[in-house]
Amino acid sequence: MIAYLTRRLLYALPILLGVNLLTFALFFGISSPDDMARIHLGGKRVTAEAVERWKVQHGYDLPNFYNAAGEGTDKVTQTLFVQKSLKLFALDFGAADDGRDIGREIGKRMWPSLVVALPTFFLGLAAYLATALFLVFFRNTAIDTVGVILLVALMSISGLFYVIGGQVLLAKWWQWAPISGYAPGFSGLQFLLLPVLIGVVSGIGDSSRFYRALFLEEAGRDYVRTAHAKGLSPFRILFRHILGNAAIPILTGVVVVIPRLFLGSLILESFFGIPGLGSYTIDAIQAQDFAIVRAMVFLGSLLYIIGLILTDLSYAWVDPRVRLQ
Amino acid sequence: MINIQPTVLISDAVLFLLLAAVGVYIWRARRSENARATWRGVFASGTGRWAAWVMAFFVSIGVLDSLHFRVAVETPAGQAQQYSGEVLSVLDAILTPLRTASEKTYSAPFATTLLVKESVTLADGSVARLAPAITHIHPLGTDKVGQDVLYLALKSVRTGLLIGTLTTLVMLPFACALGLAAGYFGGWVDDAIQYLYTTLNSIPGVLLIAAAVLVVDVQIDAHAEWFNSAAARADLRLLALCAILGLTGWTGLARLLRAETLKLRELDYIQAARAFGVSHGWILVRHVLPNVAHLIIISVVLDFSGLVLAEAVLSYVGAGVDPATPSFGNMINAARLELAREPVVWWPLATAFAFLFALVLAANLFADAVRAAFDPRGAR
Amino acid sequence: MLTLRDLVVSLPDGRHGVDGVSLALEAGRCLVLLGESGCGKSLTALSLMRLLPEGVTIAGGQAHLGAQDLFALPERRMRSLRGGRLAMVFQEPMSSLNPVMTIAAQIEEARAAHGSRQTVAELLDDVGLQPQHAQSYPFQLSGGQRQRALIAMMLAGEPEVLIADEPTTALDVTVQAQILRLLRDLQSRRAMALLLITHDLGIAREMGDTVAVLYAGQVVETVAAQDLFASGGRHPYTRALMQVTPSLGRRGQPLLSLPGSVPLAGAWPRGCRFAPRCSAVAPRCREASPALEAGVRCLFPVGAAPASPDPLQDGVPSRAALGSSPSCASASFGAATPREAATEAVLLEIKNLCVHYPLRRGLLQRTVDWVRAVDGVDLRLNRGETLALVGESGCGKSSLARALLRLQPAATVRGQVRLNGEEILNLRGSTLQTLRRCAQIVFQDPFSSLDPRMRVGDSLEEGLQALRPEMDSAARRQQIERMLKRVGLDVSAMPRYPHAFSGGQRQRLAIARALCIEPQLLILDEPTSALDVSVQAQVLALLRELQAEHGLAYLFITHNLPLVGYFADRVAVMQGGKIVEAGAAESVMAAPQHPYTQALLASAPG
Repeated sequence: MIAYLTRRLLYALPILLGVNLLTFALFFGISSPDDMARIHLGGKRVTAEAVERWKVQHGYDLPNFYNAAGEGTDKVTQTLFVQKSLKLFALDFGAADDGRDIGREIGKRMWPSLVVALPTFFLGLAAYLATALFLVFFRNTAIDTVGVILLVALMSISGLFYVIGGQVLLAKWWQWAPISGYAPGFSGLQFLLLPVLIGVVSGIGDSSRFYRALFLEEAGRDYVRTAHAKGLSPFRILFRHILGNAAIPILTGVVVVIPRLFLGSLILESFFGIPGLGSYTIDAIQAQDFAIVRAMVFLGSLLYIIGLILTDLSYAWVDPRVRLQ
Repeated sequence: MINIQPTVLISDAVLFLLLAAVGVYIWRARRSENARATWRGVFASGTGRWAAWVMAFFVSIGVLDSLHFRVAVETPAGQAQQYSGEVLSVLDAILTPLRTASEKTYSAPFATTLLVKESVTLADGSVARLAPAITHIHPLGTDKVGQDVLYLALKSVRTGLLIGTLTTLVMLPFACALGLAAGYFGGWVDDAIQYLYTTLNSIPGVLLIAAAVLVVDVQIDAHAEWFNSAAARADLRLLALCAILGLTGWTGLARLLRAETLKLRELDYIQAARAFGVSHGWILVRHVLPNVAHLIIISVVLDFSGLVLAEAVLSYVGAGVDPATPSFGNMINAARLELAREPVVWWPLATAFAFLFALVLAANLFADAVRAAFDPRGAR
Repeated sequence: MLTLRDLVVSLPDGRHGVDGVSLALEAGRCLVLLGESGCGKSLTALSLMRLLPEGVTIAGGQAHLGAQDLFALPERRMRSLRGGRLAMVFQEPMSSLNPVMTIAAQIEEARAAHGSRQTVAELLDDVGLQPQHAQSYPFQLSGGQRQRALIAMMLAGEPEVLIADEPTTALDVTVQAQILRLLRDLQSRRAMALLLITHDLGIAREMGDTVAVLYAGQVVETVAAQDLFASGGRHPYTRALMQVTPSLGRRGQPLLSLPGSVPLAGAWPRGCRFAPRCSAVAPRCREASPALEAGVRCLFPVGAAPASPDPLQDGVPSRAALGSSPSCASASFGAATPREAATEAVLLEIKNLCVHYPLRRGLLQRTVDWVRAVDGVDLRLNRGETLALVGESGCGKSSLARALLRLQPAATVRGQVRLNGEEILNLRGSTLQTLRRCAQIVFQDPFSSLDPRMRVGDSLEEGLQALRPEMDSAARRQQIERMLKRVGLDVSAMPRYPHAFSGGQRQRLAIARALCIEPQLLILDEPTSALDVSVQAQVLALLRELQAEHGLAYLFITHNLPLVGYFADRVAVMQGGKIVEAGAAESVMAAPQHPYTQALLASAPG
């Protein structure tokens, strides 16, 4: 197991390096720091000096891969690739265009993200599994047919409508909760109600339908017939046998996203004014702040890879075939 | 006789190419007994048939909106004929009453006056606050700049369709080539392709797309001289979005195809072909590809609705289509502020919701019918 | 004890999969339900358990277990019968157990449901499993152990009736014998009624007190097992079944070849359902449906006054009676006689052939060990000869075949293989194509050996295009037509897709495909084990004829010993990647030397 984990960790390095090279190619190859400077200084009539000044200010006045002017190791280290890209590996994200340190900002903003994302995730998972199990229990009945039609209708609605509709209906008209805002601690609970509820509801169509399909696939297997032949109750067969086996494919989809919960949800956070990483990212995209986007891309990949490793571990936990071989 | 000049935007050309490809597929499928029977299965169910009709309606709107032309303008005699800079489509021509019937600003559906009051100097010289009368009746009202909302929604259909289909066109060659190669050859080819898609997958989707769109934006801004009209510019931005979505979106299907090819590779008929000394490329084209075709078709129709929805979210994030391109995403984006107004301007949002819901629901139901007919295990 | 009357099972499309089956089981006795694929055996069993697949329904009939009307019970009461008084064992031990629960937990569940008096340990002991198997997961057990575990689960409720649906079909012969012995022991110890479903006459002979022969959804004959094997049965189908099974005793004789194949469920002919394949058919048979009278469903049963002289009486069918079916072999081949010295030229010579797969472990995935699938095999095959390679699953016989055809990754194969005196393991490019012209293969599963999305004609042409570049398309077409005719099909097959053909026809197509390029060596990888016995005889006869005509050498891979005794000239027995015994088929079958060969022979049912 230790050897396996070590190998997985080592395998993560080339992937992160690949992500790094890809983003570097996007931001420094296809477009260039000169382009960035021009956007930020505004318009076409920007002098070459102004561009240079902006680049010096933001540390972009370096060659891409090889610094002929440098001395010794500086030839390699005083380059954009090392300074702007490789330093991400040390979780050194540098400064945003407004001069603030991205690392500190991330550390501060991930908690609000987590406070919204965690309950959304777990309540959602429970709700989707319950819905799917309910439909599978009543399979081949009208309840299942109507339920599936309802799910397809729900998944045909854009996530934006859930947010906007929820805000108007629940906050503006019925005044169940404040329309947006955030406060830490218990006093902030009222602000959580709406985003969490909407987050859960907006995913129900897709996820419940997916889980239902997984359960139905398991329900058709031979061991389920054996369980019936043993005279077990349908309830026990559903929960002990079908759920137990479907847990394996469900886990692959679920565990991998857990680390990414830190990044929060772009849409929810920006609509509900939650000062998390999601709204941070969306603001950066809209302000065309490349430094933040690069940092978030790297962080997202890192968390994904951690998620993959956790998935493997959870496999070993639920599947004896993995655990014991 | 109006003098017009047909104009073909790049996306039009690609779309018609795609339609031609679908036409060729239909022609071939009609000759094959198997394919005919399978497609009959799609249309056998009531929902499948209805969904197909609704889809056909939307597609015909999209196609009419892709036949572009420019109208001739008055040109002094002796000079070469000049054409207007505004690119119109056949749909625009059909909808001329809606298109040209613009107001000053918001008006509710079937309202007779504008939403906002203006100071009007009456005949007796006194000044009154009145909502001015509108010039035309608008069944779904008008938006901020007084444009008919129904017209806007119909124009948005093309954008959604293009994103749903062109993205697939970009994605398919990558997904097929890499998925089949990884599954069939195994070894280092498999390792390399798996590395590639794990790397791409590891980047949060929206961020990767947003980053790529940002970069494309910078390029478009820096090269204004490439475009001879605003339509061409918006068109390129749309194409770029499709390309980016396609280049980042092939991993799912590639994984599916890899897994299926891995199974097929061990089957006796592939082994028999190898025992006959048939080349690998030939085996992939003649034996493997036809036997994974159902997966490709299912995944293409399933992806369509997701892509149409993704456009809305991306446009909201600021990484979608050009803000000037009519699209559901842009309509919803504008609606955020409109809902905060007093009185509430709800009709653009409601219209976008209804159209988007109808399109995506039809696509989802159609996809279900296709999956049920094509999946050998008999889909649920 | 358990009686079933006039069961009708209707399929999702409304056709009948079972059409009026009646059975009666008695305590302590074994009733064998014998039949080929698609005749409705499994549907009958699942109906008794009321576990039919979705969409398949019981459309008529009555079943009584003691005084209880099984088809009228509410589901809740039926549930307490399942695994209680009425239990069932399934065919696939691999997939019939829950993969993520321990054996003990799965047995415990059944105990809890029925308030069993026996403990898990006692139940395990009853089926011959060790106590330490209790905490195992199914994947840690062998196929035989899994089947035992499944039986233990079903014994928890102390059943009065045990239904076993092909319980040993997925198992190796030696394991099959053990499981059958276990079932028989349990049946007598617990005085259970056993309903055993099988397609294997040998198993029926060994296990049955009474045999009910099923054909096309109906019982065609019910007879005491003793009488059946003494007299050969009274229904022409039963009699035919007894004579199509190859064995050492029939060596040198042609097998009876039943024309056609078992009709598909629900697509049954009018009149007597066996009439189209029956050699003693009379005009009336095609009109009137016979009823089951005195245990036989036939208008002219053998033993009563036959309407026509029974051509099956002496075991050798007359040509006239069987019509001009292509599979009806002429009796002119001297199969069992050793080849003449003149043809005794060596075609294939294998020396010290090894197929080793690396086992990689640890941080750097270093190769720590090898899986020795084939481990130093020496074999020789002469022109025009049939060499049978016999072994159980996992013994390396398929790896060997793949290595011979160069389908195995080159890095895993070592040793020497000479075909026509030329070393083939290091051939590349065009010389490799020459090998492929000389050696071809026919696979076990006729349903996966033809590309389902390719027209039959294209499939047959593929090999010609690749290996006979000198032929133009007209010549290729001519060759394909010739071979199709030779295997008893015709040109009309070419534009069709494989799904339009039955299993036996597909296997003929696969043979024709290999023959098109005129190889000298044909590797037959279990070519008949997926076929019904009545169809197997046709294919064997065809292979025989082709060998005589073309001087083909066969490497016949199989696990079926009676088949070897009937068909092969020489035999090599393979175990754990090694050849443990080789020799002339007759002498090895008559006097096996190696203990493993002896065990194999002793295990063969019948």
